[in-house]
Amino acid sequence: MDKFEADDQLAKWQQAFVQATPKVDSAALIAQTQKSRAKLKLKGIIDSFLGVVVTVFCIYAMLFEAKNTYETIMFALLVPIPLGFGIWSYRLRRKLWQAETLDVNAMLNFKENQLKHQVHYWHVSFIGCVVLWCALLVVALFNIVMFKTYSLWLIQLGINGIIVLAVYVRYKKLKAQLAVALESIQAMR
Amino acid sequence: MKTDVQINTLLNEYAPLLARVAATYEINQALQDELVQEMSLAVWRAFESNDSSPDVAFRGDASIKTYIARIAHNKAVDHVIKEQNRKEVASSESIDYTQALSAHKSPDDSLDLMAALRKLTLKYRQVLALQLEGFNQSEIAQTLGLSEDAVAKRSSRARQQLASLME
Repeated sequence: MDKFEADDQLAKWQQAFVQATPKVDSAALIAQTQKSRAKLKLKGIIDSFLGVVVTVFCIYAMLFEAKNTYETIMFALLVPIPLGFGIWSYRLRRKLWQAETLDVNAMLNFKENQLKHQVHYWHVSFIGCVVLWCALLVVALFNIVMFKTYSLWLIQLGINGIIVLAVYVRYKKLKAQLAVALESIQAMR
Repeated sequence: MKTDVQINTLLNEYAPLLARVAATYEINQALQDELVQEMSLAVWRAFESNDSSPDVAFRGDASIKTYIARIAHNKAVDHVIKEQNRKEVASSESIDYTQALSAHKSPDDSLDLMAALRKLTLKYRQVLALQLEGFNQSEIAQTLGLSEDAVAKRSSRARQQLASLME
């Protein structure tokens, strides 16, 4: 038997609750939702396309631009990254969508883990970016010393240095927010 | 998987439910509208997906309403977490509800009820909001991922607090 008693007070509150429903233009809401959905799908297609393009570029560079075995190996290592990242990113987004259909407690557990993994991911990404930048520095120094190709390699170091910095800033920001977010989640249980 | 027409029909039918859930979590009108949008998109994605797990299989209208309420509350909770991270004043937990309540004081019980609901802590607010939607104890337990005993306890506390806020 249901433990809730149907009483006058609850009935009155229920009536007031329904009367307090904010006005919603359902047609506009549905139209906006369809638009957002289309935008998300388009973004997904563009992300996938860019992943494929960058992968193809890495293959081209490996086959036709690499001047020695070392550079060939470097480009070969880069080949699976863009496409792999795109596939991983899609699967992560899908997991997030599925979590929205769980019960609230399970969703909070998922959110907690997600936030912790997010910080861990950016930390690992930062370390990875630093390692890759150092490898790029070695290749750049080799090319500058051997072939005097200053501008190409200095520009590459500059651009990739900005990326490393951006990843570092993102990692620090998420790390700072993590404690507050975990506290909020705990308060909701 | 549901067709676009079926999803449109569902959104049309349950838009008021989404609006009420958003209103219980967020006082700022613009953020409420944004939250309702996010809820609608989440509902669309959920019904569009091919691989819903068996435990969310639908068994008639009651299950669909529970399913949609679950998604709505999840998006609302997500919204609260994000807003608290952004440290905005309009965040539903940190806002000065005394001001909100006095600003909406009127003979109209419905405005006072919503303002009073937002003053409850989230775990009580969730249970009571679902109860006010007409869900039974079992459905609320299923939506929140709690035992029925826990739901009954929270409901009792929530009703006491709401009654004293509305005096």
